[in-house]
Amino acid sequence: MSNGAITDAISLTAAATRLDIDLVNVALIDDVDALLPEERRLSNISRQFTHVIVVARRQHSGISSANHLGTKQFFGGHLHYFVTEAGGEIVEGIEKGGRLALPLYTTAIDFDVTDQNDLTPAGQGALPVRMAAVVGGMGTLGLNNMLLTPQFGPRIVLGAVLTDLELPLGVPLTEELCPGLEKCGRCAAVCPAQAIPLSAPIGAGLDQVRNLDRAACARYAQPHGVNSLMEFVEAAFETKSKEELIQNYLGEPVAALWRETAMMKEAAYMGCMECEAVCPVGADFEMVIRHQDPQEKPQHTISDGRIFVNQEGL
Amino acid sequence: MTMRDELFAYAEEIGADTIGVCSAEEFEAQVPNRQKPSTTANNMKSMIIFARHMLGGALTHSSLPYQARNSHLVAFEIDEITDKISRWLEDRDAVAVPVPNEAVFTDIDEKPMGSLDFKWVAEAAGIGTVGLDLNLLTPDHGPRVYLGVIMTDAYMEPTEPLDRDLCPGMSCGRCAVICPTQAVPTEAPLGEGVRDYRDLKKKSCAFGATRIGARSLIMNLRAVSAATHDIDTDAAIDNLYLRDLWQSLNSKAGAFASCFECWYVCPIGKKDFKPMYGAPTRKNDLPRGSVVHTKENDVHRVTHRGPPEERQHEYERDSELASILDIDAVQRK
Repeated sequence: MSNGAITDAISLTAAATRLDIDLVNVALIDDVDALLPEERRLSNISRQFTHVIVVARRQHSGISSANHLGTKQFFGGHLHYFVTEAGGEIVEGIEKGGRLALPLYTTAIDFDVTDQNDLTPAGQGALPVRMAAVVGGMGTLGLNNMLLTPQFGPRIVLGAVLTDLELPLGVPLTEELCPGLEKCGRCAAVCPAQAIPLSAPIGAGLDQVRNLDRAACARYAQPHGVNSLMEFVEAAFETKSKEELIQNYLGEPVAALWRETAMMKEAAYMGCMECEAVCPVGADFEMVIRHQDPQEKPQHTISDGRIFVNQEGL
Repeated sequence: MTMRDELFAYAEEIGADTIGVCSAEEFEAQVPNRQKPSTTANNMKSMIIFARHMLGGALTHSSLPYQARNSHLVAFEIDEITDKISRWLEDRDAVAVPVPNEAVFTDIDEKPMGSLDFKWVAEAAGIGTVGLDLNLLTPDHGPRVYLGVIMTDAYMEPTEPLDRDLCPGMSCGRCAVICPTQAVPTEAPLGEGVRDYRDLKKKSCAFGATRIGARSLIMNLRAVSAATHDIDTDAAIDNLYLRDLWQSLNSKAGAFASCFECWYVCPIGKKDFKPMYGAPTRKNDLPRGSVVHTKENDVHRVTHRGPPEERQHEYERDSELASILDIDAVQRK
């Protein structure tokens, strides 16, 4: 069919290329759901669909290496728009081919089953989509539960489409892409929130160590997000006088929340991407670090059978 | 064909109306504040700048919400073109840094501002010249364009600045006459060129351009908080300001890029001024005889008038809740 219909892997790949999608992988919803807590399962959204198509857009090389946080955040977040648009176009293509499909908006949070911390680290994508990417063979989870890909490391933004179109399935990668804390640990070393494990038993496998303190991460990744809004409202209600309210709260705190909401939008989840910038996984890493200041390798120390990553000096 | 030629052809194909290049290093040396290329990224060589015009029909009516939505549509198109150009560069092994076109930051200067001032990049790259009110004017669409910038570590031959100013300056003065917040100079020394006196009171401009933005939200909240009498809570909640505020958060309409008075009256723009000005709405903006020039004591002045009365109230939203709730108006700082 040449009318933009998506009926098979070839037409899906062609559509993805046309839509500037960098990576596409497919998994069975049942296989993904087996790895998810019950309340987060994709089949909860609809039992009509059988397959999940995961799509990824790479971060711009200069964004990963930029000095200015606001610039990184703004354009990092805008990728979510493009991914969402692409998802919609893929859905349209599948429907033209006579099947059903539903785009997943990874920045749309169902507060009944999760919260804003689901979009840590770095607003890459919600947990179910990251797991779908793993099952579909797009990548593996790193030390901080971020998806790493061979092509772009963690420097991607994810989207997904649920469908009943039968598509060839991706094959999960057989080896971890993340070198782990002992051999690397850069993300942990650079994390301003200390949200990533800074120590592990010597010789422990990545699956025993990987973790993320999501609330801590969100303090930086979502500097003026939902958590910040709630803290602001609580503090405002606790002020002792109108003067204190006006002086301390009805100024820059309001402006910051407003900017994040009206201006940044999806970028509100991407206020910190330090872990992405330093991750050496990904064929794009050479370009990412081309103009960065030389990166120090994190220092490791050993004590009582544990290996520690040192944050000092980074 | 050079990389620059290929890029320009591609940019035109994807919707850029005009495109230019300036040297990042030379631009860096000219910038007096932190709006320098190096604030954003290290070792960039070229700054690619392009413009896309506002839809013509969008300029012929008076509805501010519609106008604001139209402007954000174009701003989004700028983002899309910026994204595509960045990917095009990366496919050729060049690092690309897309620069936010519609965002202000608090870590650049004391007051929120963008990380880069696009109009000066545009003037340096020759896609236009900066006019009396510090709008960038382009030959085809006057000021009625939005701009996008991508920095790259690929060297491209810079395009030459234009050799004359497009803005007639005070001999026109229409933008100064109509500005609802009197942000544009209304006088200039006789005999000087527009480059000598072009200026903009940015805070005053922001009163109009971000009329339902962070500042008016803060001003209105302060007014309500400072009330010395019991306020009518129904009136405080159920009013046009809060509805417009919700819309500004939802779609950016009114949040920024929400005053176009200077755009409506600028006569520069070979392709769009005449079609725009043919609309009856536009003819009422500055009726014949309403731009009054005086030249005395070596000063050329135009008499401020403001926009048509039916639109003036739209630029006075700072004290809207105070007015609704009968609270003494909060003074503008």
